Amino acid sequence: MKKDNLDSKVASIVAPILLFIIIFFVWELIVKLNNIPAWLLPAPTRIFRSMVVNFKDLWPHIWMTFRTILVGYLIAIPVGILLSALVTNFALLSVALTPYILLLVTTPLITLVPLLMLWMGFGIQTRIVTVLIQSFAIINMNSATGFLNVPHIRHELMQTLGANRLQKFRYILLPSALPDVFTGFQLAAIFATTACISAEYVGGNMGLGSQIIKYAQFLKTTESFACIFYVTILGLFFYTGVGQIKKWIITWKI
Amino acid sequence: MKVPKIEYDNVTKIFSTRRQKITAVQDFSIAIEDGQFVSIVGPSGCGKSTVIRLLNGIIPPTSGEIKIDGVPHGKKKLSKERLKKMGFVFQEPNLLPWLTIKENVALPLKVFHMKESEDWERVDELLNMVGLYETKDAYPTEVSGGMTQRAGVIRAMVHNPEILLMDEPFGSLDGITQDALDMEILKVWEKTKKTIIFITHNIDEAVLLSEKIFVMATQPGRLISIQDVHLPYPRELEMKETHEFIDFSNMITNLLGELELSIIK
Repeated sequence: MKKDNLDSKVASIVAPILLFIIIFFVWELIVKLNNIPAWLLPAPTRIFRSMVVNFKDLWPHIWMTFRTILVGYLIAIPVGILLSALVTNFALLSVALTPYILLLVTTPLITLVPLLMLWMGFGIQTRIVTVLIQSFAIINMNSATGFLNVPHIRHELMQTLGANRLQKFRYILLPSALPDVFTGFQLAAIFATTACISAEYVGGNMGLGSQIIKYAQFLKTTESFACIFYVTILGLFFYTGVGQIKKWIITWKI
Repeated sequence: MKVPKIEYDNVTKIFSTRRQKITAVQDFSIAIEDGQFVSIVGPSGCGKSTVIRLLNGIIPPTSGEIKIDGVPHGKKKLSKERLKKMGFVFQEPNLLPWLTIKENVALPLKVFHMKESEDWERVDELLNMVGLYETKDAYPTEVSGGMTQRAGVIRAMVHNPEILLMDEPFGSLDGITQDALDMEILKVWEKTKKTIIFITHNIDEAVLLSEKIFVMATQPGRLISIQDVHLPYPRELEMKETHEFIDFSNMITNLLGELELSIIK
């Protein structure tokens, strides 16, 4: 039994790496065999080299994108949780707010970015707000689902103890909802990355998004790809980071 | 005259849904003395769970009055002081999976803001009493169903209530564990003399445990008979084999059976 567990754990690390190698090997082979020019589709080895060689130039942009995502995301967490706690606890607030949150979620964010730039300029604050809008709504929706799905019998337990709203929130609502709340965090981590890059596409000359556009315009596809790979790394970093924190906090089985 | 511990005075509870009104309990009037062990039996849907939910303020009555120590519940939500007089044991253990057994048992102390050390000493006492002390740091998913239900029972007692309300607490356990827990709850009662209302659909269990049995029927949920159980305490499992026990149990079964038949006719 123990050995099986170990094997599957090793497999879960080795298998994706193996697939990663295979994919890039095939890609490399196709590019080399067909003599595809680098401006159309660069070979992976070229991209990796560019990632290393251009690291010094790209670093300010990587750092900028990282900061934008992190700050927007960190503000979105308390805003999203607080809002969902209020909405699920007070029926009137829910009725009043839900349509607007829905409106915000269903409107493609990219359509709002030019307006945000008009009002707030091309600086980092505009991009942070973009990340914030995108992430808090997702955190809010998932947390609300969690708060609403608390088994009725737990509410009854709190009732038999005469718990007030705050005690109810602390002793049953929040811990019951935590798995859903974290699902929201993880999804929001992905969307925050997407939102940040979208905002950088639209305006300004800082951040990986702006660099992807810049290099693509000059047909420097290799550098463009290098930026894209860095974006992927950032996204993975946030996603797995949140996943790890989830594992530390939620130690119980449901 | 002595004031009864618990009194139901013409209590009716009607659940209204969009399509229909269901009378869960109709004109329910009983009195329970301090320290009595009573059971409420009846088929599913007879409103027996509703009766104790009304007492514990989980749901308000549609009409009628419920009194504890002669004081009516009133229209408002029950105060913490009043709720503290009662402990509620759920059908499922209803433990919180993120708390250890001990933390689960101690939860009412936290919610009731009970900080006295004698209150907290009771946690270990109770854990010892039901043989959970060794597993107190385990999580609910790591122990057996019998153990989690034991924890559910002592959680209801940790704030030292005068009244224990038990809603089919051992119904989902296997027969052997159920017998064991029945005997444990008898011991607890004999030691503490709390007033206990025990809800069950198992007539033998009601006869084995209680001094008095309230028999309820369905559609609408109502009281049809009050039976005193004349078996001596301490009760033992072997009593289930005696003629007296079997006859009495059959009598109640027939009470309910006749009624079921009359509905079918």
